[in-house]
Amino acid sequence: MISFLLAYITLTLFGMILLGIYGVATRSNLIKKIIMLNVMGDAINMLFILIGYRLVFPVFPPIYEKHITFEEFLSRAVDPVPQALVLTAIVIGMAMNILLATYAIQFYRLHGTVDARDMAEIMGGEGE
Amino acid sequence: MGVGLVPVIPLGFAFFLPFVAFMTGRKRGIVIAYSLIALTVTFLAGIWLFNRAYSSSEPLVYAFGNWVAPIGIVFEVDKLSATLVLTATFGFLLAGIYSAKFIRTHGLEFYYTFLLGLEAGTLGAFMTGDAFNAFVMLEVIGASAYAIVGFYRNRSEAVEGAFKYGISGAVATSLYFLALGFIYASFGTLNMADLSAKFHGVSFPVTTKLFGDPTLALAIFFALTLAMVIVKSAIFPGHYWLPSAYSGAPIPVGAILSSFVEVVGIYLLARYTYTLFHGLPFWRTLSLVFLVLGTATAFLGSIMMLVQKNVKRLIAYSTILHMGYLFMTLGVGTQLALMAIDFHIVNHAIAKTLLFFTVGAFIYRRGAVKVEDLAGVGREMPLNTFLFGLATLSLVGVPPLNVFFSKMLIFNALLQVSPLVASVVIITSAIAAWAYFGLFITLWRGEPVEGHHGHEEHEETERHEIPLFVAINLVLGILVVLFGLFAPVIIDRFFHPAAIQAMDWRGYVDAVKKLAEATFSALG
Repeated sequence: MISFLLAYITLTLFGMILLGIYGVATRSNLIKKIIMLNVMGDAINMLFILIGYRLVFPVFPPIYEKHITFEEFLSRAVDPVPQALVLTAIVIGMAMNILLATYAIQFYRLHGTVDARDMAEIMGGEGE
Repeated sequence: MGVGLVPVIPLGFAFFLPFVAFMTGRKRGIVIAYSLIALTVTFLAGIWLFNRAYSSSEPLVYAFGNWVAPIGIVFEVDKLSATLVLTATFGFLLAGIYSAKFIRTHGLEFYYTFLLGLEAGTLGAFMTGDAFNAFVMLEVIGASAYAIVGFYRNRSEAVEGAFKYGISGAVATSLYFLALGFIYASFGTLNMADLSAKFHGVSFPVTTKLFGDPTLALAIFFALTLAMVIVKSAIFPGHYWLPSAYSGAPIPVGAILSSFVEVVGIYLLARYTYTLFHGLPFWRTLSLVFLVLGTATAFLGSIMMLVQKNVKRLIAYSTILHMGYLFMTLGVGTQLALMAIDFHIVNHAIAKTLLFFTVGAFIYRRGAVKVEDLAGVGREMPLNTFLFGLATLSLVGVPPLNVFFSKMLIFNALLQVSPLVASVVIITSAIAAWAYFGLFITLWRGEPVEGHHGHEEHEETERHEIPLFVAINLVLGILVVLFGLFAPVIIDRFFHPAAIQAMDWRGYVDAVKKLAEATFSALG
């Protein structure tokens, strides 16, 4: 049952990553693009945390105590490294969100639209 | 002084710059002086690092907080990294000096903050010995680059370019993060030396076991890393953001992005395929991908150069062309190819910075970016035009100038695969030469269009040549000639040892392993 749930969660997360890329590529609203970027980023973060998960019971926190043998500790403790990596990625993701949202707002201020098709039309005269 | 402190210098200066600016009343002079001191100190540190890397027989290792690999994050600098770091610190210094005159709008303190942040990220990416740290450095580069590309925030092309660059770059780096997940799950480590040791079956302290199928994990890792590099380094299907971003960015930023920031992705791939995982089981497939996409990129870049009406976009496509060459050469897989990549990165950085800066002087004078509006500007600034001609000749690959020698190395490397692939370099260079020639003729012989300035921000205060720009461009022009004339000596003295050391995975692993074993045996 547990392994079925784990497989289900993993597949869902992969689906979310693909959905995120699809959304960033196809949605024309800039805000929706940013939302889909977050869907993708969070799915990757969840997947990363799953890597550190141990499919055993009971699971120990990753703090070594004297009354547990070292081998038992290794097989039962949650791996803390992916959590540290995800923490870094979340902070970076926040900074990216702020930057992208700033640009979306700035484009709205300049042209009164957050639509990528309008953006292409406005830029069309100057580019190429 | 530790090796790892080099990228910390610009980062530290960048952090305090806004505070210093606010406390001193945001005076231009103070902001510029502070930033130039920071850039000069970093350049001196770059020279120091270069000397240390070339006087040592093995890569330099620096463990942050004395946490050695694979527990902590290490910086590992070999000769390949050192050449790139020295070039980057020099390029950023010149860009900083150039910006002091070029950037006329308010918010100069933030401009220099982002520039220093960009330098910290670039140097960090060139020096890092940890795959996850490379991700962090890519994001440091990313955050600074997206911000500085949109520096002219009231111009729609800057905002559009920055948004495109930002959203593509964020997706790309997320994919690289996912790639790290796969490799961590299989190898149980993210330290580069440790990864290489595991791949070659060498024992390494602390982490021991492999999980699952390492070949499959590596295949997924390379697929996702390639996806990242394709977007970040503007290789064919992922190049779409680059012309918009470059036409929005200020000229010195364009020079920096083109010379160093795009190259980071190529450098990481070279590090992974040539040093860490040399002799991959699926190398043939990977090599084919490099060659095909690189060829497509080179053709796309050179052909699109012919039809550009905006001079900034023309240079942007020239950057795409050169990234295509580098990407193609990655697919060869020999020591000659690595040497060609390293030498071409350095030469391209010098020549492309010169091209950007000379064109920047024209734009500064006329306040326009369309080729037709710049017509005839060359006659008003003959020295600048001469240097512009020098840069274009060099980038096309005319013999006594520097890029000729790196293109020749690339050509020789590609000949090891097939003469057909090598001919791509000649054909695309010829197409690019035609595009440059057209631009040069318009700038020199074209009739000026009357009454077409005023909507840009630069007032026509200077007459004819602008002394600061000429001085910087002369330095770069002399380097272009010197690197060309002394190319055989320079290759022999610096780039050949760099390529030998970078191909030696055992030396790369041993440098970290020795330090780790010494530390762990001291702990007991």
